[in-house]
Amino acid sequence: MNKEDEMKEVELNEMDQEKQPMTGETPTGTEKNGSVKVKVPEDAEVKFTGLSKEELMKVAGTAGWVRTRWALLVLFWLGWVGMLAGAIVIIVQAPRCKPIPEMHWWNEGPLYQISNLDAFSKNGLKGVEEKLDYLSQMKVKGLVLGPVHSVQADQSSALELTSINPDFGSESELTSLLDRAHRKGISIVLDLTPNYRGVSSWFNNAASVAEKLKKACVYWLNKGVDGIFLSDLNDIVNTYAWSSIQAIFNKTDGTPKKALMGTASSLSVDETSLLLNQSGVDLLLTKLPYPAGLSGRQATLMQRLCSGHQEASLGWGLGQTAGSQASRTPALPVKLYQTLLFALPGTPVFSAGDELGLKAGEAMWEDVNSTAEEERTAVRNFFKTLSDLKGKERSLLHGEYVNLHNSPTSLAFLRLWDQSERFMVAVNWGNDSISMTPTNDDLPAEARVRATTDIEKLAVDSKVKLEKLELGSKQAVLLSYPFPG
Amino acid sequence: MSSGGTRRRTASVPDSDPDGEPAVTLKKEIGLLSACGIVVGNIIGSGIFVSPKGVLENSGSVGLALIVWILTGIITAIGALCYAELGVTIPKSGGDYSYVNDIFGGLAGFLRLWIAVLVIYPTNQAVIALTFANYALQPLFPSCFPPERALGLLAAVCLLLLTWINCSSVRWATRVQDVFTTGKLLALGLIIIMGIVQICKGHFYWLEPEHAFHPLQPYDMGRIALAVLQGSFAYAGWNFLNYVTEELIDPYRNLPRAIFISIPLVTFVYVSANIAYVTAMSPQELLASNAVAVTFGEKLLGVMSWLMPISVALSTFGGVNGSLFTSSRLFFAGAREGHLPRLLAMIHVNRCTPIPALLITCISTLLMLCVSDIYTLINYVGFINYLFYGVTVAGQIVLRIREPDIYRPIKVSLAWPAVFLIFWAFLLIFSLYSEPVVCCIGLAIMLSGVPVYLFGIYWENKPKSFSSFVARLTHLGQKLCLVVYPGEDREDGNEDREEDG
Repeated sequence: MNKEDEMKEVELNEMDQEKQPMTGETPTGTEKNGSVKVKVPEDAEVKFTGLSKEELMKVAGTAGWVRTRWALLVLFWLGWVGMLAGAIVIIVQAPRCKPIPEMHWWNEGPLYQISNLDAFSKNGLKGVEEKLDYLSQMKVKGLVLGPVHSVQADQSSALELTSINPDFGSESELTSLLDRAHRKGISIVLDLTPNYRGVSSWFNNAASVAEKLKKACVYWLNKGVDGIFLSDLNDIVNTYAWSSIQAIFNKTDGTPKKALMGTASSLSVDETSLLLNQSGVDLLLTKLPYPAGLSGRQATLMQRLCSGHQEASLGWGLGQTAGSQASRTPALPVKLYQTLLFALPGTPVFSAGDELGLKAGEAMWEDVNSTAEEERTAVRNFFKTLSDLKGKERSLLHGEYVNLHNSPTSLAFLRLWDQSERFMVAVNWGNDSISMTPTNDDLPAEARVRATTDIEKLAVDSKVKLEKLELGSKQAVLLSYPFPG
Repeated sequence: MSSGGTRRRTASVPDSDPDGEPAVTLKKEIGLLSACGIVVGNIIGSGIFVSPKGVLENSGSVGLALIVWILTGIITAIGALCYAELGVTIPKSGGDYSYVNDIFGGLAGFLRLWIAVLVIYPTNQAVIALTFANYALQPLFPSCFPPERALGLLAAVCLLLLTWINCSSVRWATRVQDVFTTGKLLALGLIIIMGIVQICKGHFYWLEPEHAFHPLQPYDMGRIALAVLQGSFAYAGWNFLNYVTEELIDPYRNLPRAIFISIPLVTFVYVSANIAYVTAMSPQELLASNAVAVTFGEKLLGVMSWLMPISVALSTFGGVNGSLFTSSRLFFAGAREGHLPRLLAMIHVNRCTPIPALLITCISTLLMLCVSDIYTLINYVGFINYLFYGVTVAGQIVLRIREPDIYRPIKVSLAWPAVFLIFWAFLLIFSLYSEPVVCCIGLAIMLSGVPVYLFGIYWENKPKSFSSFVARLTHLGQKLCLVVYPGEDREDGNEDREEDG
């Protein structure tokens, strides 16, 4: 604050100089006389410690001192030019920034899927709107809603993809939700899986509803919806209509990109990879199974998808059946899954309640006892920490995936980007502790804990040696270290 | 303005020589408009380009952030009025260092000088120089960090160049200041105009009352205090107008007027800039940005987005110059009071620039550039800096009580310092509450000056060997820099003026 306080002091300094004789010769007040008295001791001191102008010019004017001053000046400028040249050389030699890949809104943070609106809020669409602040605080970038359209189970003739089921609300309520969400930077994706109440998502005949789907996509996108989500994608992708459905989302008229998203169940690694290439969807959501838990097959799936595909198209979620809360078990290590989903390349997609570690039979907003409330708060804060990191760190957003370790019960990998902070994730979903010895040219001797499910052994912000990383049963840890340079 | 004033004073010298009278009077050349220009030009700095994030983050909502900016402007105006009375009552160089020294005694004054000279000026200059380097390189490194060594070298280059300019000529130094003040005013003008365009396009969601005051996070008194403190940084420089009081036309009316015109104007500009920011960015985007003005430029300027980092770089370049200019004058004031070595008050025989003080400042700032945790250090001393604002204003009340009859051309109601002190106490208490460790470390750094004071100044009968050692160092410095103590007697003074003429 004081850095500019005395900007004009030099003028006052000069004024002081000019006032000296006037003060000495023409006393105009007692104060000034007092000033004169104060000056006398200072003059005495000055003569003792400093050279007067005459004395200075006699000595400093000689050739030796003049030469010394010129030498110092030359040295100064040589140093200055040297520093400038050094800076320029370093800048020219420095590697250019790695271009940031194209980012869409669904690549910038987690998505939140509300499949069962009744469970999320008794007020349906209106209730979702009321909770937008809650979602915004968690850095959620998009909502996947529904399905909420009108249909009767297993009756394709009753399918109305452009009508909102009155049980969930009205179209005006959806419009209001869209407006409010957009202002908060949250996009809305509608799930238009046709037969969501029946046996088969596509009535066992996807071609028969393809035309309705196409019209519905156009309808909702024109209403301001930001994307469309489809389950059992493999059923519709093989129909003739698929390419024209895709075309709706690939417009190049300059409007913001709309997202075509989907998911498919029970596919093998190769089938998933093929579907991703074949469908051309913007985001393919792969669900990690529970209650059975992670398996070696899942680890292989993750590894191969991460290594073989643009991460912008990958989405990761939990659960075999979308949003089916009955399938959750109390033993679910929710923080472990959160760590894994946020660290994998691609977009984490969470079902409503995942951020709280919601258990079977529990309601979203219902009051619980203080112990459970503390637990929920801890899980939610953990979620927020990871969400913040995901949104800020380049390595987590679009970094390269490097596998370090995988076994039937554990996984470890790196995320690297340009000169940004590096991130390493280790996850152990087995019943026994494990000891890892990750090896990679990039790895330093130790790394810093950024998020952990095991607070006692791996405290946040503590340093951990990487030559032998020990991880307890059902634990996960997210570490970071600086760019080696 | 400053260079004009300098030229006019130089021209007055020949007038006195033909008459044979040694008395020289200052011509009153600064009118109300010029005074306002001086205040506005020196308050507005790089703070408005980087502070909005901190203010918004700690305020908790857009509406409260705007209120914080306005409130800080009001408190700044009150402080400026209190300083104005002190400025005409104690007409000495050195700003609040001189006031604290005269009112509370040598130790308090020395501690102020100690913290300013040891930490505040070098740290501020290093941070501003690094900020300059960072923004200057931003167009070359748009999405990653520039090499750290290049940043350090570029900051040093900037610092050395400005040190040389300040050593060479007072006029050049003030011209640099004028040029870069114009640059930052243009940048701010551009921001505000673009903000107006945005509002006309209908982008003012975050300015509607029901949205503006919606909390982004729960309100917290401690954090609001921190927000006010961050806003205060952007208003720094409000108290230097005291130094041109004697050049003001009708100072006793124009000084208060200049304050009441300038500071509301700056407040208006700052609030307008913040309003412009939120027309282009949601609060979430603003909080996620490390360079608000640059993000703003990227959103609205398109291919011309490089204009913003360059504007901020120019603004910080001017900031380094201003800091060098003022810190060297503080050295002068301290040395004159006997709190610093006499050499630091000496000026060049011909150029009248305080070369030893400038060199010391330059060297200490270069040392700061080598320190790795410089940003932490500046947090420590920011608290102490604010502490002394209150001490100085309290000194005004003390002076009223102790010497009620002293000549006071400008006299403000005691209500104003009381209001300022209440606000100041509020900020201090909540800062201590929120960041107790940081504040205590700042106090410890300041108090480390006490033993230095006792040994170096209070102890009068030092050994002769020590005195002769100091004398030899002084002589050496004088020969290397060709400097003398200013105005040590009338004859020398006359000769100086004749040569200048």
